[in-house]
Amino acid sequence: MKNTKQINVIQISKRILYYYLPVWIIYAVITSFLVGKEWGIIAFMSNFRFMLVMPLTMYLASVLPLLFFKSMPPVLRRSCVIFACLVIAIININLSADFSSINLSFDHLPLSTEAESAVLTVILTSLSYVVIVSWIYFMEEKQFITETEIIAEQNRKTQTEKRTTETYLKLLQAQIEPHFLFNTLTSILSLSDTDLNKAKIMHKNFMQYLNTALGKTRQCVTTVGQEIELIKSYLDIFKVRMGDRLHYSIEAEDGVKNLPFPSMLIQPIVENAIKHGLEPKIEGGEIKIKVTAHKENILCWQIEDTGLGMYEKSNPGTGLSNIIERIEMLYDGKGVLKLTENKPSGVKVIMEVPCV
Amino acid sequence: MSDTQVKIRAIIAEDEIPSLTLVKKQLLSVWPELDIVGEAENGIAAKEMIEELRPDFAFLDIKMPGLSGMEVARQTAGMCRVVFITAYEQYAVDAFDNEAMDYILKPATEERLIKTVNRLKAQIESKLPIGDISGILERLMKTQKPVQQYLQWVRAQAGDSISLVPVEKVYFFQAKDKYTTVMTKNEEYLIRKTIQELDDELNPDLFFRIHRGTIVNAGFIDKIYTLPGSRGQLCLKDRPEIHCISRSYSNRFKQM
Repeated sequence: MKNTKQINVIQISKRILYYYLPVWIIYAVITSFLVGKEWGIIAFMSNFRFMLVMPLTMYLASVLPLLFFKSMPPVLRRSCVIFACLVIAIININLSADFSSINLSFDHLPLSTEAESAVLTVILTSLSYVVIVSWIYFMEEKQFITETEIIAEQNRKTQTEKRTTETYLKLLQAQIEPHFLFNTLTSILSLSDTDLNKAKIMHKNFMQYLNTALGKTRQCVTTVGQEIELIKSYLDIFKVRMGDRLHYSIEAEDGVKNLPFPSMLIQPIVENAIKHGLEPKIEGGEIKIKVTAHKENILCWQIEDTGLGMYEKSNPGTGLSNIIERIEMLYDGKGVLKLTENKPSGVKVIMEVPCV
Repeated sequence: MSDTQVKIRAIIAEDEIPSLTLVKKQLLSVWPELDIVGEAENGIAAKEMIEELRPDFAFLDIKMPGLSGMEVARQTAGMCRVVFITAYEQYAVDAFDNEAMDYILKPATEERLIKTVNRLKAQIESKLPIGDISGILERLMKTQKPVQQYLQWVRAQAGDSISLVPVEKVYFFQAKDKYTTVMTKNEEYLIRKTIQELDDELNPDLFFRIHRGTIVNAGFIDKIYTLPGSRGQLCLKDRPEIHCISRSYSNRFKQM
């Protein structure tokens, strides 16, 4: 914070100096024409003073509030500058007018026409000065703000790209979760000694899982049907490991299976249900998955388990926050993930995403 | 009892049937005189079995429903000798080695298993009393499972169901009469917990108390305006609300 504040002050000083210089030169040239007149010197002097006072006022008006308010809305800062300029301009006009009238028409009252025109010149130039300088200042300011916004936008874009890559990496990592791979291989090994038939089935399911999980996610678009296949093989593997403690059912509406759907978006939810819900529960339980397509092109997944459920302090796991992040990015904020408590126990997850 | 071929009685506790079968088979192949008197599929059954059968050895899987293997060992300390069954990498094998605990890896290689079994046999033959391992277990359990101390979920009544809202998705909590409003990006929930309770339970690095009645998620802070008198205002990303930072809670923003 401290750092940005300092940069801000320096930038403002620079900006005021840059646009002030050309204006100052033009103004000096114009006023120099007045020098030839009888009252010209006085008018020139008062304008010269005005020209010194003006940038100082603007500078102070833009910088001083920043010292008191660490960050203030731009509108408020602009108002400060305009207000300060106007006050100084009015003081200057009054001073110049008094000064001129006293010096030029002390001898012959009422005011001579020349003195009147001198006063008028000072007033007009001062006012036009305020208008020109403020106008240029705010044009610059506007451009500066637009530029900073563009930079911020670019930053945001790189951030999003970075996030996409990160989530993709996490996704890849999730697919090759070592525990799952290792446990499954151990189970196959165990079964090959005792129940060869089951070992074969499990091996087949494992191959199918790896095929879908590792092969298809590289292509961005997969279908609902493929995700269901992935979950089926995943659950079948666990069915062998957990035996009677796990039951599951998957229902998919007609025509839903061919809809495009990003791979590995539902699998982590099922994984969570097993890991935190059913595996630690003595009697095990059931997982029910339902896929329906609502009206208005909304695809709805419903994953229910009868496991232990979530406690207020139970760790949500990286899987879930990963999904939330992916939905946010893939559907641009139009996807919904809702978690509720299932009755009588367990968790019910509802995911609603637009069918693209 | 003078017979040298006294059967060694053991139980195996393992929740996955394939693993159980494999461990049993492998054990019997290298230790034929072992008599497996019971098989348990969860922690609670294992504990009851140990209490009832008083075997010489209990082979306990670490990860089991009901009670973990370590919990079972702790609760039945002194009743029998304990050998843990653990999957590769699952629970730090190094920790077991350091504490000189007996364990079996699944799947186990034959030579490793023979080594373990020989050690177990030696324990029985030397007739040493069963050592007290509860201290070691407590130490191990502490390192294995970091206790979640902060609130991770907010349970909010929504209609007739209870919604679970992960706290990382919450933008701010605001006191409202007796209740507290929980605001996510697009949704609003009411919960019964008071701001003070939430303040105590939430992770203080992620959630900032900025007012008597407001806690905001630090990850969603967009802009902070300071006002005279060490007060301030704060805006969150994606939300239109402007939150007041009161003087008493403004300290943590001063360092920024």
